[in-house]
Amino acid sequence: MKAPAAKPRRIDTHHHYYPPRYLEESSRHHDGTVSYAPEWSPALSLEDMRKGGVETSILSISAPGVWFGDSAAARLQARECNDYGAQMVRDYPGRFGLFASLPLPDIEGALREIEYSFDVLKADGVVMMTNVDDKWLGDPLFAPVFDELNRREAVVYTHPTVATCCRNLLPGVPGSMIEFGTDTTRTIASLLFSGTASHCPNVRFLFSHAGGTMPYITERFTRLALRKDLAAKLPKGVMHELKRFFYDTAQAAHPMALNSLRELVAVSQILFGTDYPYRTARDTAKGLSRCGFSARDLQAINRGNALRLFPGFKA
Amino acid sequence: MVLLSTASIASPWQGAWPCTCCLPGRHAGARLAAARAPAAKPAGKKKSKAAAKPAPPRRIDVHHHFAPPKYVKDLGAENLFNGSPGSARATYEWTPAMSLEDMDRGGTQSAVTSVYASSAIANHPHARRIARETNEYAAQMGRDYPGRFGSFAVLPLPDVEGSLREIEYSLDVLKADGVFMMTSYGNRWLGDAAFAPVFEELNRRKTIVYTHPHDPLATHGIMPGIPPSVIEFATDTTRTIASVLFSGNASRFPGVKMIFSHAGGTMPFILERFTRVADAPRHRAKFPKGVLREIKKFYYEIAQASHPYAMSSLRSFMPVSQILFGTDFPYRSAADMGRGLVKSGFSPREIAAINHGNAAKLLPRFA
Repeated sequence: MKAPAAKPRRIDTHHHYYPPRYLEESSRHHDGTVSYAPEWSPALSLEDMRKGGVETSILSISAPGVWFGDSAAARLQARECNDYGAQMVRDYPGRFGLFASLPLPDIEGALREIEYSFDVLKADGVVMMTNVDDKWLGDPLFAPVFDELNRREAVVYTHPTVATCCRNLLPGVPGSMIEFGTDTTRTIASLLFSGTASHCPNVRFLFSHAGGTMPYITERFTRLALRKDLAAKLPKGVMHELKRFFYDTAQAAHPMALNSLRELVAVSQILFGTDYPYRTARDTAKGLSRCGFSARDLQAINRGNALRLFPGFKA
Repeated sequence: MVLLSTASIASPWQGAWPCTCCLPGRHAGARLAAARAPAAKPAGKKKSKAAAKPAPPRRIDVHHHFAPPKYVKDLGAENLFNGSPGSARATYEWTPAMSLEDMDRGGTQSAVTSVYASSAIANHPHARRIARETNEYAAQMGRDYPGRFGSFAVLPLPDVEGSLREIEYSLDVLKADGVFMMTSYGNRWLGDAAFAPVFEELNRRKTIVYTHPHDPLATHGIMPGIPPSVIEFATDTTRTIASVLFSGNASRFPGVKMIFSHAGGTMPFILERFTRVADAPRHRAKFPKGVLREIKKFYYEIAQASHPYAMSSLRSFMPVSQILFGTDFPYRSAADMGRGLVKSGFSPREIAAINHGNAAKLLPRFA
């Protein structure tokens, strides 16, 4: 008989929450491009975590984020979501962390929310959509925000959303199927080739879904980076940046994605993520167990790698 | 007929880029992929005895571009050239001799050609004539260099009537090896109902359909400074695979043999998204034999994807029989793609199948 395995004590870095007022507002703007409005409550989150051996989940607002075209509304929505998340962190000690939402593309509002969520709420990082109004994260517009996040050595978690250009392109096919993956890839390209990634070496970037589709087309990135004008934006090389980023396993806990990702990065860069409530922790863990990782690698993905980013959850 | 007449205009772009023949990054594929590819068979049990001299690979390159002088003139070099060195070679420098040189250097026995930048034909006032002349040029090249060139005949899509005529002419008269389509025309991907008559005819004929991605209308110009070939090409292949599947065309037209470029764009990496959506009640009836069966019936060529990042993903679920050799010449070379393949963890037998055997089954005249 096998000795009972140590509990995985997973840290789920891709776990969504739906404050009631956010659900109400985002449902009003919902355009049918992604499946939506899951049943959610803190108790349901905890139930999934219990079943899937998750000790701590870091909460984030999913697509489409808090921006619906109006700065004042976005500021209010971000603040409410962040306060709600922070309250959950306090209510269930050790069980939740928080990626604070920002009212981007409102830069002034985002800078204020960064200050509040880190200094007052003690957030664990921020969440950004991969694009806002078809501007990807390397856009010069966002530079002041990244400068501030770099100063704070923040974790920047990104979540894909369907770009305006790519809504409802294929009848009957949800935007999350193809457009999510590619939008993460676009924002990685944008951060690299704008120079933002190398300009902000202290920002710890965390990309959803094993990097969208980027690992599969890594060679396109490395070849583009040979161009002199772009090489100048990547003084340490494009591979240096790609290999320092972090990638979560949500909806990607299978050999099709992880075989590819592992060719690109060390296991130390891979974090456990579920995409709850769209997927479960148990499901994700089962998928991971079929990807050929050693027990030690699995434990690093489950917990150890995330602890290096979020040492506060060590206890 | 003399074909070696292309004026070779010296390209100011040539040499502006560094040599890009070697992949940066580690090549762990060969060591690791075998250990973690659940679907892959263990590499050849029988150890081949002291490999004396490796047999020539006799590659069949199913992703090989050409650009006849008249084609470039008709469409305008300025409409074909995209600023990259590969594009300069295709637009300004291509000759059959240039193709043959790459083939000889890279162990390619035969290249099945597809015309360079064929999106420029779509909606052109003389699309039918340009497609016809281009296909005739390819057929002549096949006669001039026996056994060296095949042809995927370009269709003047989205013109359905003209395409039906070109299918008849190119397959019946010119004996083309298959037809060539872009992944999308405007905002229509290949499963769109508008193209159904074309697929019905191709299904009846059991034709090979080779597809090539491009900069689709929807995403044209969205990321200033990032060439569309970096992300948008691959994504458009993924979209057209989804379109062919979720329109029901894949199951409706089982005779069509689809070849997708660049190892399926990005589809393999997000395969699970496909299988989960296909399992929804509204889609299930479209896949009486399951969506995976349809996906595994398609063929995938390795151009620009001959590296462990793509191959470790593709081969984790795809039978090697569906993988074909391709180069994207004149963007990339046969030697370059051949080297990448060796570093991607395949056994010698699998590499031989990818180089030659799999394509030879599809295109028996090159066996």
